Amino acid sequence: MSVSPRLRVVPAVVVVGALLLAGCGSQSATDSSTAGSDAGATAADASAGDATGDGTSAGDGTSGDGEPEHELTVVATTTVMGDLVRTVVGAHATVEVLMEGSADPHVFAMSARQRGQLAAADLVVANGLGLEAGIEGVLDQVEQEGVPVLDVATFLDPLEAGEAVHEAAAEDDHASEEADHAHDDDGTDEVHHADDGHDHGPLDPHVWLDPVRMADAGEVVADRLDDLATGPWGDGATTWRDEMLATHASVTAILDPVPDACRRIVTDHDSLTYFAQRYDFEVIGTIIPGVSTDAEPSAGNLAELADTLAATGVTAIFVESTASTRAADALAAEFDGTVTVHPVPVASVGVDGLETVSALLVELATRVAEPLVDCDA
Amino acid sequence: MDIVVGPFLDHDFMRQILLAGALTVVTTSLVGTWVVLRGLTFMGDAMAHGVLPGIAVATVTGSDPTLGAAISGLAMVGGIGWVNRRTRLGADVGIGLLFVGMLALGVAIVSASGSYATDLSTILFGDVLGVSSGDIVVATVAAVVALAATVVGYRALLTLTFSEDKAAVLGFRPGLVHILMLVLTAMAVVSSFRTVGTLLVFALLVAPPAAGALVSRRVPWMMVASMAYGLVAVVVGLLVSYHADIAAGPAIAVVAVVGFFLTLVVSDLREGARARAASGQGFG
Repeated sequence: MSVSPRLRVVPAVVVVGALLLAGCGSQSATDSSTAGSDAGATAADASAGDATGDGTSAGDGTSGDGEPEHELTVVATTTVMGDLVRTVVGAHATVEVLMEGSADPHVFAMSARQRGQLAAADLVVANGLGLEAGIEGVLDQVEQEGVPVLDVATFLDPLEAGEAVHEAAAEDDHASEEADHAHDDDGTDEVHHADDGHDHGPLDPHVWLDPVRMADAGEVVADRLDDLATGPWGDGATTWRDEMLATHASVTAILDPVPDACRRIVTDHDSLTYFAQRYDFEVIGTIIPGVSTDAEPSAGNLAELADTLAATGVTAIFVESTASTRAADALAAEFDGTVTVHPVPVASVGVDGLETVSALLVELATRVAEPLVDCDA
Repeated sequence: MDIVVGPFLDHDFMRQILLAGALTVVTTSLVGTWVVLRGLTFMGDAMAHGVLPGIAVATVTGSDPTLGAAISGLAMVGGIGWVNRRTRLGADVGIGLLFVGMLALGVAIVSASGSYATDLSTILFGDVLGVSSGDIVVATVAAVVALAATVVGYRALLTLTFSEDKAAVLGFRPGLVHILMLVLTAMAVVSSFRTVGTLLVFALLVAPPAAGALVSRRVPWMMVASMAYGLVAVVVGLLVSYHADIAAGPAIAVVAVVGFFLTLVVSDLREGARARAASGQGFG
């Protein structure tokens, strides 16, 4: 165990070296050209791959060749936001997406490289309302450093979490509205008015599951881009709107055969509220109370849900395809096969061939319609 | 060289994280050396998870998470001390009870809050890439307090490390010094969970001091060596995160632990070489 004095000096040398390194760093002017072009190349690849998906957005004649000003770099947090931003900017800006399609945005932790992408971005487009809880601190910090962060969902008339769930919805709404006001009055909320779900009673972040709300998202992004640089952002926003409204028509058609009496569902967590509200489904219960995948189900809640299932005759439980079905399976097992569990895509744009929000919504509608078309209710 | 220096030259945030990391390492090295020497790593682990309910409540109610963590930490210290004093059970029993109780309470609160605002993995794995200047102030204060406590309480802490009886004989009131240790550990966790996450505070509280203890036998040198190791772990971890595109907090923790084992290998080899040299001399 005894160590020569020589070895003891090593750590000290390392400390000094590291401190010098840090010191040099703070003096030198930032030269991020290498990192920048690197990231640009990656994103260019990504958007090239996407071009087949929405050729409509890239086809207008105003190519950026002669433009002297530097091309904007927009970082989108999720693949859903990535699809939105790519459609709006077309070929006129570089788009980078932070999280892979299968990553749970809410437990995602980023790498230092991605932190660098954020620092170098002209605009960060996030879903907001706490969806990106895992990187919220980083996003706050990035914003403080002067990179604008756009929380898209806050502009799309978000619902309170669980708003469409309970039978006594009217009463609940009233109560929570009062709670909201009481909360707002303490003044501390002013600063984070739009972006902090918890200041308002949680708001549900899953806005992208309502194509009618999402139709406005293109303009939300385009308006912010207008502040940063001139570009055909409005055209992109129109393309996006058309795409969403067309999707709305497709989804409506797919769900049309589902009789009104069958439009009652159980979900794993509060993820389908917007979808349910738009298409007249009633979410009669959720396995995990709340909008977060990070919570654990309670025994009381499961028992209550079993009673509700028995009382209402609802036979389908829809579980986010990336989440575990263990609790749902346990619940279904109580009903000897009359209740079935169905995985549905909720956020997984970029996974299983669902390359766009539109494709995701169509797939979601198809999977929801399937077990409900001839329900016994 | 560009691989090592480039990311720090190119990005303000990398230097900011390095600074916060270095300050955290100062605190965790000073406190962690005592923790490791006294065999209290389980307590460190428990503390790292025991602050969860306070953070969760603070986040849900919109108060300061650091305050919540501090209250939780002090509750842990009180609870552990109480079980130790009032029962004849082993010291680890109180720690274990508080550990699992507080962790479970934290998960229950997060689950019941039904919102995205509180996030277990963020609390546990931290937001090292979101370091703000406020975090750096907190980290600086903690480092200064840890340094002052170590200097002022050095003899008491050192004596207690080797023998509780001797400490009592020398008039150091072992119970009180023990509480000071717990409070310091709590402070290390509370002051840095926002920077590196509670789990990674624990990594920095154990791995660098343990490596320091391998290369030195004197406490002050252990602390210095620990700081050096910790700093290297932060730098290398950040570089791995940068170049290999791996989440930053876990990268730093893994590098710290791997660093310990590398040190162990090197010190084993040296021991072996010395033993052979010694026996060779013996026969010569």
